[in-house]
Amino acid sequence: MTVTTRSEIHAAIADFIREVGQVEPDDPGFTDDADLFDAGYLDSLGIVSLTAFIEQRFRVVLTEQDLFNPRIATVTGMVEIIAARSVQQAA
Amino acid sequence: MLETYLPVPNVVWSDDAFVVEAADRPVDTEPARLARMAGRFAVAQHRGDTVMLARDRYGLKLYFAIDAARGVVAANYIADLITAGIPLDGIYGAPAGAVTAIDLRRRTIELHRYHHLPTAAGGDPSPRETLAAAGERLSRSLRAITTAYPSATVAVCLSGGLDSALVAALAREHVAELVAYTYAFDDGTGDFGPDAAGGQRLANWLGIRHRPVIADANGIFLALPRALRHGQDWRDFNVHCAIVNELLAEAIAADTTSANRPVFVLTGDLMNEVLGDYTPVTYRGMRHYALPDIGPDLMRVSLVRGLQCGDREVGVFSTRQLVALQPYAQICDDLLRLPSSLAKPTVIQSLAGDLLPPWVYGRPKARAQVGGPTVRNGILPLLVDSGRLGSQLEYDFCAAIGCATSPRLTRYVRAGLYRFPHQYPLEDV
Repeated sequence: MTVTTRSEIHAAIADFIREVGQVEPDDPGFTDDADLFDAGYLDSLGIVSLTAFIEQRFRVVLTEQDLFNPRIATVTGMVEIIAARSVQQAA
Repeated sequence: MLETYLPVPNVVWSDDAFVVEAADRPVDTEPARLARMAGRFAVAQHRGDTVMLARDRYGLKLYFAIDAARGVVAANYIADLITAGIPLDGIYGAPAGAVTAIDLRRRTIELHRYHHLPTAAGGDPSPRETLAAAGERLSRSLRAITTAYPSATVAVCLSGGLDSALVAALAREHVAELVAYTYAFDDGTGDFGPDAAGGQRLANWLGIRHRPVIADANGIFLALPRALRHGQDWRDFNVHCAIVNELLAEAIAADTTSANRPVFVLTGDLMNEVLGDYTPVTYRGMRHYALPDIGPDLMRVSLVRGLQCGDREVGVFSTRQLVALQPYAQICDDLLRLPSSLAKPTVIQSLAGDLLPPWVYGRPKARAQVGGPTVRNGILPLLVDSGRLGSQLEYDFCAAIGCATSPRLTRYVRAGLYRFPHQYPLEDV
């Protein structure tokens, strides 16, 4: 299995959200701890795309608990969840 | 410990057995056992301090709340939980294809998934073999209904599209007294739209009695609150479908009130999700029924996963004591394994053999709720023109289910899944 570091996960997730959410490169609100849903960077279609991307890119299946974990609303939290899932599923 | 509001009967349905039974009948909720159990069911039962909530793979909805004094409160309908005094914020969805185990003493909640959606796979069996086996299973499943209930009244919802056409054609092989119901929008011209006209033509070709269900704007607006309440969704694509089904359910129930026997309603639902056969619709410059920008295989899985939100069929028909049956649920897993490159007419033709006339395959796809390929009239234009979209539908939904407040509902559904607690809910308060 390919080992993916947190920084690689972070870069991939942030880039994907920037693309799917059409985030301007100089948008000051798009931070690692911004609430992606409240701020409008992810809508209902965006989270479907992101979930599919995560499953395909990292071979990680997000559960119902993951999707409604408040931490998934931020880039920082999302990276933590994917990293934890990667370890669990590789074990 | 456990309080339930489960009026929708369970249906144990395989290709050689078909039983309709009350939801309170005990079921073995061992995941391995459920994995072999076909049909649609929502089960809530307790053993000691543990409440088990089990749901089928696709069809029946199960919502729940955990209350400090009452324990687990489970229901088929969100509105019943609201009526029972549960706030919308305390309501969660039991995921499809899984058992939710709630230990009230230890204050834990665990999810045990017994079914995973398959994805398209190459190799053996070939698509031809898969379709041949699926076609046989589909036919046997329909025969199982009439074997178990030979005197049941059976209706089929026939939109005129390929999915319902195949269900109608297969049902005609096994059901002696079959009536096809087709929704048609009354635009004042006296003519059916292309979809309804196609349904009528096909019913005539199959030799099935045809019953058009004609609704004008007033009838559609009257059906909207019921569609929201029973269809359990506020998102436009499900609301519009639920309105069609509310109108059909009303007509079927009215026609069969004297029937002192079960009334089964066959539908062609699920096939569009399984084959990813959806496209957005543009009306007055605005895109409706938008889809995520992902590949076709992931799209199909996402659409099928999303079926666990919204209750546009079973939830709607059940309130009229009609037993909605979705035959394609019997072969969903087979169809998900087919390559996405297979076009729907090819799939339907393989399943139908010579049961359908050649001209049905050449008709342009038209959705009943859209009014026709040009989107001129019908449910979508009516609702959009009256401002019933987006946050207004969220507001209307809250009113329809009896919720005093109207929170933004987007956080209740994420990636097609109804909210599920990430930790024991009472730990939040």
